[in-house]
Formats: sequence, C-alpha cells, structure tokens
Amino acid sequence: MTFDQTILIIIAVMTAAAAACRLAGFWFMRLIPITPRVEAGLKAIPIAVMIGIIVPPVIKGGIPETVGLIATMAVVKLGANDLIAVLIGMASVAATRALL
Amino acid sequence: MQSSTTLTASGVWRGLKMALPYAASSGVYGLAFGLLANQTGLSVAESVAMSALVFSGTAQIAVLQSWASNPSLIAITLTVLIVNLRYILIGASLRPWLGQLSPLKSTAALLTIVDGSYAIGMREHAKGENDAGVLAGAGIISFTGWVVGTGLGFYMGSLVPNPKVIGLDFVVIAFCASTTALMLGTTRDFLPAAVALIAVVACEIWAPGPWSVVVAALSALLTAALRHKSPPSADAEAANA
Repeated sequence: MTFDQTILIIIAVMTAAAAACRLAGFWFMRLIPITPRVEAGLKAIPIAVMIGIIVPPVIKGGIPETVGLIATMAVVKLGANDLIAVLIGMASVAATRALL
Repeated sequence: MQSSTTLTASGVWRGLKMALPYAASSGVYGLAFGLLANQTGLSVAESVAMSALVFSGTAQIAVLQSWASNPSLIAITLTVLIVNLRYILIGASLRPWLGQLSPLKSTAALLTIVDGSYAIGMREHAKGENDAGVLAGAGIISFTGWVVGTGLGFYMGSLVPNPKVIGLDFVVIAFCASTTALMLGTTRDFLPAAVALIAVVACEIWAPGPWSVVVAALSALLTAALRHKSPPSADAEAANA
C-alpha cells in the first residue's frame, strides 16, 4: 500500500468535485419551491439526458450505432424484456461492425 | 397520487440484476483505466482508491491523460467539474422522487449515480417503481465493476479486451435507448425532447464536448417550464404551500 502525498491530495480534490456535482442539484432544489411549472421543467430532464448521452456517439459512430439504436428501441416497442433489448442492441452493433 | 418513496434491500437487489450488462461494461472500462493508471505511475492502492472515491471514469481518464503536463489542482478540479456537470441536472430531476427519503438515504442513493443507473432508475420509475433501491442497486453494481476492473486492469492491462468488438461500448447507449423508447410511449408531449434533440445535434456540430448532456437537459427544462400552462393561482398556491 503506497500513497504519494500529492496524489492523495489530487484524489481528495477530485472526490470532492465529483460528489459535489452528484449532490448539488438535488440539494439546490430544496431551496426552490416545486411549483407545477418547476415540476414540468424537472420532468423534462430525464429523456433529454438520455438524448444527450445517445446522440454524440451515434453521430460519431455512424452506421453500427444507428443500427444498434434502432434495434434496441424496436425490441422495447415490441414489448420484450429490457435486458433482452439491451443485449440485442449490443449484438447488432458488434455484428454490423464485423460486417463493415 | 403515487405511493410514497422507499429504499429497500429488495429494491437494491432488483437494481443489481437489471444493471448486470452495464456492470460488465463498467468492468471493462475499469480494466482500461487500471492499465492507464499503472502506465501513468500510480500505485495499485492509489488507482483503486481513485476509482472507489471519485467514481467518474471520464474525469479520471481525462486527469491521468493530462498527468505528464503537471496539471494544477485548479485545472484538475475544473476538469472533474466540467465532465460531471450533467449530474447537477440529473440530481435536480431526482428531487421529486428522492425528496421523500431521509437526507441520509437520498445522499447515499445520489452518490451511486452514473449514467446507466440513472437510465435504469428513471425507466423503472416511469413504470411506477417508487423504490429508490432500484436506482441505488444499479449504481452499486456498476461501481463494483468499475472498482474491481481498475484493480485487475492494473496487473493484467495487456489482457484488456477491446470493448468495441462485442459492443460493450454500446451498453450505456442501449440502456438509454430502452428508457427513451419507454418514455416516448408514456407521454403525449414531445416538444421538450425534440428541442433537446435539435440542441444536442447543433452542439455536436459546432461545439462538441462533455457538455452535450447539459445542453440537452437545460434546453428541455427551459422549454417545458416556459411553456407550462397552469392557472396562475396554482403556481402561487404551490409556492405558498
């Protein structure tokens, strides 16, 4: 077990910064009354976060990611188990990459 | 009215099981981080401690990649903050759900949050799940994969598989896609999501970076809040409540 003092300080600073981000939004919202308007705004966040995570790699990756995205969403829409949808999405990305 | 929020062991267990593919992907990225940490000159204890405490792969990799240029503490802090800004909006969006838990439980649940566990948690919540254990369980299993992967990768770095070959890099996208498909099926209000989509595509074209999630979330938040129509008295009453 070796710890360098400088690295320990860096880890501590990084830990504080990451934890602050995870906690700040939730605790900040304590100070703001949850009016119907605020609630409508908050409820729009999850799907937007999903879109923000999905879009950049799909634009960068091109065909395999697009195929995987369509496959995953189609399987969910067909009513299959979510885990199966994820596995089929992965498999279709891997297969498309192998073929291209 | 929905039943009240809980955080139970059985919820945690369900979350653990649902997130197994995501934990596998976290594990493989952990292997890659462990290898990078070894090459950068960290000890195994330092590498594992960093993964266990910071628990932010993108930020950790970014910091180690700048290691050779002796970054200042301020530069390191800014890197971690910018990469993790999205968690501020994610945390705000969890207020209505986790706000009913005790401060200790909500804080514990929030510290386990990662992109994939948020996707799983919000998907289950949209289906009517009120047990925040699902969210925490999904976070805990991906945390475990990340930390164990870091330790193994430190020693067996040369054995790190290429995640792309079996589509492991796609796992988080797939979880987010399944959540999106479900949410699009339960709403009749597509405008905030459409605005977020346009904003993130524009962001990718003109200013790509780790802030794309923040851009998407903020644009949807503002669209939904500004357009919200309720009797003026309802907002005022809720504010006074």
